[in-house]
Amino acid sequence: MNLSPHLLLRRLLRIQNHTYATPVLVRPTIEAHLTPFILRGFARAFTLIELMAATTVLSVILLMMVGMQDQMSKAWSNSNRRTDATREARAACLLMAQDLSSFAMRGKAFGQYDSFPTNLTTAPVPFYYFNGSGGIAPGGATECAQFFGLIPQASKSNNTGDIALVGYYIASTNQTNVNGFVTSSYNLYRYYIPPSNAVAGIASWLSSANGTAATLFTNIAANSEILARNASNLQIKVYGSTNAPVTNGFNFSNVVSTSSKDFYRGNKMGIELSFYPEDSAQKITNSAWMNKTNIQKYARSFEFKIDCPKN
Amino acid sequence: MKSFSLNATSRRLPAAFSLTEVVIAMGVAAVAFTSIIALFPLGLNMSKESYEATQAALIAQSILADLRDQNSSTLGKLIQKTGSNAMTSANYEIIPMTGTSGPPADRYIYLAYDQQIRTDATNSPVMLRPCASSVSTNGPNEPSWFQTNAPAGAILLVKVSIKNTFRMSATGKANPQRVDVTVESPANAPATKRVQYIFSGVIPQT
Repeated sequence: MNLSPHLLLRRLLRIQNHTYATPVLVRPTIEAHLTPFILRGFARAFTLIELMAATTVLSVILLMMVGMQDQMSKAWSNSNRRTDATREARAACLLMAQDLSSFAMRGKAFGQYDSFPTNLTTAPVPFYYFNGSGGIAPGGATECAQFFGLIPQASKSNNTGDIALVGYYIASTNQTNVNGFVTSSYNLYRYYIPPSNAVAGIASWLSSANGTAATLFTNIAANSEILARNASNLQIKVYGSTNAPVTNGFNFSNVVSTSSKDFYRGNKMGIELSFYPEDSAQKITNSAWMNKTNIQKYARSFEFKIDCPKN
Repeated sequence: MKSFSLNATSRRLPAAFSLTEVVIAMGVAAVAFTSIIALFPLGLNMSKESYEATQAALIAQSILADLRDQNSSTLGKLIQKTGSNAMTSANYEIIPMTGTSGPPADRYIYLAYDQQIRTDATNSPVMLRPCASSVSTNGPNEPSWFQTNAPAGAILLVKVSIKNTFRMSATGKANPQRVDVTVESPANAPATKRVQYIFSGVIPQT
């Protein structure tokens, strides 16, 4: 039993003769060509180079996917912001149209109808608007219109208590967050004084020979609420019977014909509003807020006309 | 070393992916990419639709306000047909409200709207304004650009119809007029593939 170490090893491992093949007997290249494909696949592991290449490709694809995901979520939230801006614009336009079409309008004979004293004949309707600077709104933005008027709350009577005051303007607000950072943004405001509180202002205004808007529209900031955010442009134009803009309130150019049938001409109002979507609003500085180029490039603009009925 | 490197090369070459494997992998990748890319227009469409619905409502309101405006006691109502709001005859079409004898036929106005810089305002914003118009005083008579070839750059197409109502005046002429405003989008799509926003109103004859 003097076994050689080689045989001892074979016996211990129970290796049969016919299964034993020394690696040196068959060259790997020949084996590679002769062995079936599947066996060859099992026999060989991935090299480091292959693994590195695969990992690189995978990471490039993953990077692209993450980038796309990022872009997609940005596009999604931006489109949401645009939808929000449009929704707010729509709500503002509707309310504004409602207010404007119920503004107190005068008939064809000033001073006789509508219970306004005769000193209003120079200003047919207590309606003020400012295109550009010079407004009376708190923090009034330049290049922005503001307008104020009276809306009847009940049927006309000799009592001024049946009318309320309403106005629209763009102004900036400062907001301080929990960290103490102050940000300011421009918003579209609606000013409203109900009849119970409007009477005193209207009465004092009517009693003066040349009432000014400043005495009529008091405590504007306290009586205003934000109607839509990120407003950048509010323009108003009154269309009269001719091309010339109407500058002094509303006048109806009723032409009395022989058949005593009057036709209605002019006295439409055109309102134009622009809003920045939230993502654009965050990028635009306050000093460039009313910038024409920015409004053209980033804002969504809306226009509508309102027919102002006479009484 | 030389023989080892040769061996390694010859061993690696046959160990490639099979056609089946490549096709399956590409299929999986294609499905994943398509579903991700398909999400993009979804978000953009949502924003576009809400913008167009809002603009449609405002356009209809403006058209009705214009139609209440009358040119004279005999001539008809006004409708804006160009990008300028100025009250001149070049910018407004006069729509007859009475026929020569008896009630007039149904009147149709076709308008195309595109994005224009508003030049008659302080901040010159870009907004939707009429860029093309066509009027028919005897029933629907769609211009070719309303059916298929919308003017370049047009975003919305608008059809306004003015019809007599049942209430007749003593002279046999219809009194109030029913107005239907149809705003269609997108302008460059064929008529059957457009989204329609429909608004109705009534205007007095005089």
